[in-house]
Formats: sequence, structure tokens, C-alpha cells
Amino acid sequence: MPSRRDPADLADQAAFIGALTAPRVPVEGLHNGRGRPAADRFAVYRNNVAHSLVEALGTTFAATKATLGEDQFRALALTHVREEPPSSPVLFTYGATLPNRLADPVLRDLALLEHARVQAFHAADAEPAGMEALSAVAPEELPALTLCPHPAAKLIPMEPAAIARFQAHVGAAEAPDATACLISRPRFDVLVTPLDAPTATMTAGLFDGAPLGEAAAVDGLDLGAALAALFNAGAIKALG
Amino acid sequence: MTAPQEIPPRSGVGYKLAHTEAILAAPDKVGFVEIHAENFMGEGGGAIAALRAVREQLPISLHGVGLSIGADSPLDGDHLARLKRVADICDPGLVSEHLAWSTHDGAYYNDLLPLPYTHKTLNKVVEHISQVQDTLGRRMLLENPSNYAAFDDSAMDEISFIKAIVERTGCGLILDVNNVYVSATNLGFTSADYIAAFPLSAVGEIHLAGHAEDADAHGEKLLIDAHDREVAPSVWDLFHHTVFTMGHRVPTLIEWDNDVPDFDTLAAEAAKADAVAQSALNGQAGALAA
Repeated sequence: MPSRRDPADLADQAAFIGALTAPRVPVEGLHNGRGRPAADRFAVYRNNVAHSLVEALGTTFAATKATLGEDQFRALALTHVREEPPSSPVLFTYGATLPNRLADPVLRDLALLEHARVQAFHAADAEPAGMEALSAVAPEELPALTLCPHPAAKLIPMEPAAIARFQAHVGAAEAPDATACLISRPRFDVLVTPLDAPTATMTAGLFDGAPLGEAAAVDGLDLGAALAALFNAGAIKALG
Repeated sequence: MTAPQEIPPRSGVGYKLAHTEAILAAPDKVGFVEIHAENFMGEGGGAIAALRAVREQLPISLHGVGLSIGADSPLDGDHLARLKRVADICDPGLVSEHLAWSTHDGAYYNDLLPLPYTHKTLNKVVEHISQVQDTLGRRMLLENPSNYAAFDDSAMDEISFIKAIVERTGCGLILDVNNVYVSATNLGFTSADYIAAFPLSAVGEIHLAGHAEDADAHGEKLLIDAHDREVAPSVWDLFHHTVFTMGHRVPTLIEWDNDVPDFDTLAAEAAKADAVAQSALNGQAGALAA
């Protein structure tokens, strides 16, 4: 191991990266084209990397950023960039673990929802099934029926206060009884549908592959309304 | 009917999803659009659908920013496969990447990081470009970088390095005129000398962009390739000089990726590039001729 004072040789890519994310590590190996050592110009890369990745996270986590405020979000994002740089150049996937850094469960859930929304935007295309598909099933077959989720659909259990914050951020109506959000993208627009606790429990069961009879055995469930919410959101791809 | 794949020798703009409607309403304002491949690497959804719609109207140039051609580790096979998938979707007239690296040990740093020009790095870059060209089954273009400093370890100059890459891989080049100006200012050489030495016959595309002005710790002017504003007057002069020197046009891109204005503003920059190029081809020698 080099001692703390040994400058990183920037011609070596491992050393370059080591110095990139450690602002105080001295560097060497650069000049300004006119004979002067120019290690100071390495700052451009430190700035570019930090700034561009913080910006990318700020795009994905817009409501989280608005709630935390610019400075606090920036500090959070910088730590994330330093400790968990992206594992892929496909930057819209970046930040899956950023919510874990938020101690406040309301903020954490909000951030989880935001990341999931972006993934839904880029998820695979599929034609969602309509309610009429359900109507075509014989009543005696309904309990054994399974509902295959649409590739963009995801259920995010959330603190009610996080749902309220998100609804306010996007200007949607309050949903005081909701304990989860259903994310879906029937065509190109991502929908966020707050679900009450019984509907969320049923949906979790269905998305896990449970048959309808089993998934719908939930106290207080309004089965008709719950199924309508799933189908209207385009969250079901096919019946099985 | 789908627009022809071949990119015409006129100006285009970087494609922003928010501009889709404006582009589809007036596709003739630009000759082509260039996409950042990584923005279209999802499984599906609105981005890819919009790309398909734009592709019906305009040829597409596919510009990768994440392959890390200059990395000393192997190319990411998964990422190369994703690039191929985007190419299959948009049937691009041109495919390009950068003389830079951006990945290390499985992590991606989202910047175009520099490499020293040595025989060892040359071999790596040649190997990687050949792999990309073999996978995509076509020639790619490689873009000259913006330099903020030079490496003590470099054993050859940038143009010798680029010429050797072209000779050994058969790849073409993007000549980013703003990058030349930025590098020349930062490293103290003359832009026109760089253009004179550059292998212009391999150039398949020109890039133009705005830069920001900063200073290093010694107070020396340091230009940053910011892509956040109009093309600078000095870069227009260098573009004019480049087209005059080449004697013909190649597809020319306006890059504006931060603080992005509306499509009409981008299209106006593209129209300006067409006008500047035309005046160069009309034999007007321009500001750098002396």
C-alpha cells in the first residue's frame, strides 16, 4: 500500500479512479502542455463525475430532492456516488439503493416509489388485459384464476405520509386510507395508484402468483373495486 | 415510409425526448438527429416508442457514451449487446463512440476520462474498436476528446495516436471542432495546426458544441466541454476553416445536452452550421485563413 502522501499516478486507471472519489488524495502525471505540472486540473474530472451523477440522481428522485432541499439532497447524493457508483452506464437504473440511506421511513418510501416509477417507464411493453377478460371467466373458475402482472407493474408498500407527500408533489388527490402504491404503465405514461390495505394485500398475493380465491381472502376487501383498480391501471397482462 | 438510413451531409441536433412532438411536427428543420445510446437501453416504453416514431421521419446517428473504449479492462459484453439492440431498433446511419474511458472494476463514472497515448493504450483501443465493429457488423466513428491536461506518460501526440487507430481498425472519425478548440486553449497549441494534421479523409461527422470558461489553480484559462450553450464565435470560425480545408461537407451535429433549450433554438444552431459550411464551400476563406 502506498503511504498517504504518495501521489496517485493518473496514468494508471485504478489509481485514477481511487483519486477521483477521494478529493484529498494528491495526484501526479499531468502537465498543461506548456511544461508545467498540472495535477490541479484533475479537479475537472472530480467535478464532472460528482456533478453529473448527482444530477442523474436528482432527476430520478425529484420529489425526494424537493422534500429534502437542494443542499441536503446534494450531500446525500454525493455520499451515494462516492460509496456506490453506478454499476451500469444505463443511468436510469442508478440509485436503487439510495433510499436505504434515508433514516426517515417516509422519505425512504418516497424515494423507493420514485426509483420504481423510472424503472416502470423503461419496462418491457405489453398489451394490458381489460376487465372484459375477467367477465369472460366462468364464476366457478374464478377462485383458481391467477393474474399475470404487466411487466411494468409493481406494488410498493408505503407509509401513508409518504403517499400523501407524493400525491401532493404531483398534484394528485389525497388518498388517506392508502398503504401502498401500485405503479403501472399500460402504454407510455406511468400511473401511480394508491391502494387501501385490503387491496394492497390482495395485489401482493396475486403478484406472487396466488390464485384469486386465496389472494382475495382478506378482511374488509371490496373485491369488485379492488379488481377494477388493478385492471383500470393496466397492471394485469393476462389471466391464467 | 421510413426515412433513408444514410445521414445527409447537413446539420442535425441531439435528440431530446421532450422535443419529440416538435421534431415530428417539423422534421425538415434538421438533417438528422443523434441519440445517446444509453438513454434508449430500457426494455420498452415511451423512450423507445418515440425513437421509433422519429426514425420514421429522420435518419438517426447512434452515439454511445458508456462503452469505455479506452479502458484497460475488457469491454462490457452486456453493454455491447445493449448497444447492438439499440442499433437494431433505430437502424442508424452512423455509430460512434469516444476516445475515452468511463468504467473501472464494474463501476461507471459518467464522464469521458482521458488516457495517455502509449503503445499499450493504443493496442487496447484498437482491440476494443475491432470488437465493437465485429459485434455491430459495421464501421464505427471515434471522437477526438476534449483535453484538460496532458499525460507525462504519453509517448506520441494525439493525432499520431488517432491515425494509428484508423490505420489498424479501419474505423472512421468524428472531428469534434469544439473539442479541438477546448484542447488547444487548455494545452497551448494552435487549433488550425491540429486540423491541418488531422486525418480528414477518415472524418465521417463533425460535432459542434458550446463550452464554458473557467480557470485552473494557476489562473490559466481552462475551457470546459460543457454542452450547455450556443457554439462560441471562435468555434464557428474553426468550423468554417475545417469545412474550407476539407472541401466537402459531412453530417454536422449541434450538441447541447445541459440547460437544453427548445427544439427551434437547436434547429436554428443547425441552420447556422449549414450557412457557415456553405460560405466555406463557396470559397470564402474565413477568419482563420490568414
